[in-house]
Amino acid sequence: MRLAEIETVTNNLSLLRGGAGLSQQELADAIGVSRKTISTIETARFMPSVVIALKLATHFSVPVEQIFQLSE
Amino acid sequence: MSNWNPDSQITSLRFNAILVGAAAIYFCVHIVHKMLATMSPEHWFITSNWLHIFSFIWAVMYLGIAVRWSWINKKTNGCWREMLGLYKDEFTLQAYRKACVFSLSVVIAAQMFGLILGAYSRGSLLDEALSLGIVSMIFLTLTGFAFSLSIWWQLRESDNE
Repeated sequence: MRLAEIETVTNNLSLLRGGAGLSQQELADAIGVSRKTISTIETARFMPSVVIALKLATHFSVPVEQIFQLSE
Repeated sequence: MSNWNPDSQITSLRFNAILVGAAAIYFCVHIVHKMLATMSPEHWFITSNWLHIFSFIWAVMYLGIAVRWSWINKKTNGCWREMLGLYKDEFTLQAYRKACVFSLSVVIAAQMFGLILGAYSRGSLLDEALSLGIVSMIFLTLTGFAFSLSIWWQLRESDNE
């Protein structure tokens, strides 16, 4: 597999969070993680587990695919 | 078992890295001192009392960091979980595991380098200066620096955080 073909995951978390008028700390407290977890997900430095992805989707009442997308 | 606040886990890991880094610096200075004692006994590093002063200052600083850490986390500390590194917050756990793996890789690389160096320095002054105690201290220092730097790098703040 060539490097260019490796799939990456992008996310709209900062947009969703901004739309809901939440700070990183408020979102982190709501789903029970650290603020650093939220900030590193938003900057794509950290790939969360399915558990966190589902918690985020439940919190914003959207499908997981609306937060995380595969991109080549 | 009480809940350990996720943000306190980040703070705990950060202070943990600072303490490990401080210990690594301490070991590093002692390595230089012990090696110089064998290789150059007349050096001012050996003849003066600076190491005792340095050790005292470092011990006070180390204690200061530990007390500050305890004070900041007094209500939300993880007790024995902090000592064993049993983090539950996902990002903290991943950062800790990455740092441990990086430290192990550095030690393995240092051992391979040591094997090659040992084969070519038999009977030399360096061979004489590197006792088992110093080699162990070198490994501790490298592990400490690798762990500390890895945590520091992973916990860095980005522009948009």
